[in-house]
Amino acid sequence: MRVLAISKKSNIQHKPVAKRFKHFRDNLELSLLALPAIILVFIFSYLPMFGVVIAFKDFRYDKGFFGSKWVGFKNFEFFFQSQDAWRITRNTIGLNAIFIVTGLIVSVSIALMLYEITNRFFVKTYQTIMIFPHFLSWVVVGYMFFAFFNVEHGLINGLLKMLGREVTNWYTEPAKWPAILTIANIWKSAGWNSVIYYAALMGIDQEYFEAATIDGASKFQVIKNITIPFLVPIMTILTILAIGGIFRADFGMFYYLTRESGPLFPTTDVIDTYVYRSLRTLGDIGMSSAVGLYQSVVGFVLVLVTNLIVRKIDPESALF
Amino acid sequence: MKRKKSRFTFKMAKTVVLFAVFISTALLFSGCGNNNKEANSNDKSVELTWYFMNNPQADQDEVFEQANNIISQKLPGVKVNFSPLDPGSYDQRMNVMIASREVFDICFTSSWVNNYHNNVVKGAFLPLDDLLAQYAPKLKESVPDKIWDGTRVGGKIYGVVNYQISSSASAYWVKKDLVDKYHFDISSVKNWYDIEPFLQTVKENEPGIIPLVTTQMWVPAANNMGLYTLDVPYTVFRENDPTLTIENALETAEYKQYLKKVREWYQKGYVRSDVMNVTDNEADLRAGKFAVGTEGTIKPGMEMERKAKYGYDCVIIPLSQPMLTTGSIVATLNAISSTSQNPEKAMQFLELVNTDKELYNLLSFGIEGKHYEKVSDTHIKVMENTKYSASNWMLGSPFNSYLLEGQADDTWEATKKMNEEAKPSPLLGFSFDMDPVKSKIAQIDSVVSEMAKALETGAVDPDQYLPQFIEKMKLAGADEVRAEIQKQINEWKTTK
Repeated sequence: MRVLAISKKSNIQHKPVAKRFKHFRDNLELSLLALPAIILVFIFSYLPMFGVVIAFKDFRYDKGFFGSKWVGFKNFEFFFQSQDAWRITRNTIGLNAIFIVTGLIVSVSIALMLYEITNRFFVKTYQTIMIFPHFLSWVVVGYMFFAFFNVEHGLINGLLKMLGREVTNWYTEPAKWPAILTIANIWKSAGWNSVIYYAALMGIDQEYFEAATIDGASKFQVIKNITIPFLVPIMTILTILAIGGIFRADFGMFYYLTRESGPLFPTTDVIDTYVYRSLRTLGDIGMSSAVGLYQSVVGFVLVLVTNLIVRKIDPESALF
Repeated sequence: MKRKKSRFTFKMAKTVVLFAVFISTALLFSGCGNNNKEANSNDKSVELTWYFMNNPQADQDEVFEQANNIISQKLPGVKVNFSPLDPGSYDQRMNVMIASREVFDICFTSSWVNNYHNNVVKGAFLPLDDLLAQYAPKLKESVPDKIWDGTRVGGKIYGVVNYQISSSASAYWVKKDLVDKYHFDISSVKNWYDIEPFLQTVKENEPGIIPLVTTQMWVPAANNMGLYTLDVPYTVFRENDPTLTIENALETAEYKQYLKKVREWYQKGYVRSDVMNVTDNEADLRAGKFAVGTEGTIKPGMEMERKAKYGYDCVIIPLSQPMLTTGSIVATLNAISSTSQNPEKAMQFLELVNTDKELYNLLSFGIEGKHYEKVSDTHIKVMENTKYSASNWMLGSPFNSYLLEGQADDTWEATKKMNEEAKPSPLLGFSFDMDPVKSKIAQIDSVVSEMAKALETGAVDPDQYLPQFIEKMKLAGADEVRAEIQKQINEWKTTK
């Protein structure tokens, strides 16, 4: 009774709130389904946030969270004073941007191509083959690449030798690695990401295509005017989310593919590998937390900014 | 009807929220719960947890059970939970356990894995002076004071030394069959580079064998040239310099010469061409694929130890005088965690494992008749394909152990003598407090890991890369760090 009364009252004064509450009440069963995920996010993503205090402390094990001395922004010094700060920031953002763009183009293309195949058997076969690399760990992939790029016994150098060309010491040639890393990234993730786009495509009403065919639209016109527009919202959302992580490099990839080869660092050293290398021997939790916090803050700001831009252009596609 | 339904769901929502809160708090508390468990154990029975490095062994449970039988006789009520962790992940796992304040009692620590000084500075270990005096007088006495002094940080002992060879010295090991085959005169090798003719012979005549494991061995090479290194990379002082002036190793003539030679060796194929990307040589060592390698310690009987491990004979060529340094002393220690609930019992146990031959031999070699056979009263032979083996130099003092077949009877006496005769480093007992320049050290570590390997394996041209390395080290703050080290050394000298 009381609840009803309140909601009735607020109905008059704050319509949206009551509406939202009613919306929640009407979809209670569905909301409950989300509860396990909400609990997990709370436990694993919100509770640990408390740990950011470490970034501002000279953390000592025996004194713990509360007993350790506050040191202000001292833990951030090593990162911002570093001569490599510009290099690793450029590599992280640059390579991730390349990955996002190429990944988007390739995954959408794969999804479009799969959509054109009508034989279920072939669709499943191609999907399986393309998704498979996603399940390999970077450690394994690192060794596979080593088999290709090894100076002496590598497949590529073997091929070059056979063709009478000069061999390259791949692990000392930084200029070649942005391309190699991009290919590796596409190979590993494009198949997996295309599944999402493929699923979105399956949801398009067939009548659009029928109508287009009757109107005499070519395949290219159908893709350009029907399929792609349907994919735009999901492309935008996934891209916004990816941009949120642009400051966070895939450690496994950059560490294991390059085999920690110093001469490659000018193009392959990213924030995560840099932090790992600098603090591996020092083992300072405060300093590594400081960098983690910095990455998160920048990522958060980037998501907000991207979303703002998207909302300006096309409010329908914005995340929030 | 509608009203009824809505009331029901509201109630339900409340229940669910309550339930969620209950679950998360339960999870929270179960996470913390572990900490309190051991505090309740009464004095009569105590379980100690000991983390150390060893690959899991097939028969380890049986050995540990027997070990506990011995322990229960000598230390009634104490049970030790032996927890070997595999060497590859030991560093990381200890790091996580210590950082998360897990309750345990003893762990292996050293200058090269699970870093002793870093852990002490962060408060991970208990100071042991009082515990040693009160609960382990025999242990305290069995190790010379100058060795204990090497473990002191800020004047206090934080780790129990596994007393063994305490000096470090650089040496080459050379595969014996090749030395004999080519009649190589090992006495001709005095200088680091004197090995070159032999490398050349091997390269020319032994197609299946790589002459040198790696050329990345600046530290032993430096020792050979009379330069001694400190913990901070590329800071050295000269052997005969009474003023203890810290120099930048990168700018010494020795380092330039070393890089030049190493580059030459790389180009001539004395090391494998992918040496820069290889992290683990153990399998190739066992297969006998290398002719020459380096050692950082020389000790009596080491030829036999190498043979037991790799299966072939080798010759040791000493390249520098044994020296006692802080680093060589803290190479193997067991420390008591500051989370330990029973530090006194842990100390008593450490004394037992360092003084009781029966217990120590059991942990070292396994069970007699099953894992090893006695050849004489003092010598044993490890069974082929034994299902238990351990790196016993991390578990206590090897002076209490049996000798391996073929090792001289006086191996331990000779080792002790070597310790006594070893020249103490002018910096023995000095440990650098990194705190004032921590952020610079982090940057230096990063530069070193970028530049050093490619240069010192000879994979890149030193004329082009060495100036870059020097420049980057300067930018990272190497000069300031060196000044700080010098300052602390000068202060330390006045207190000595």
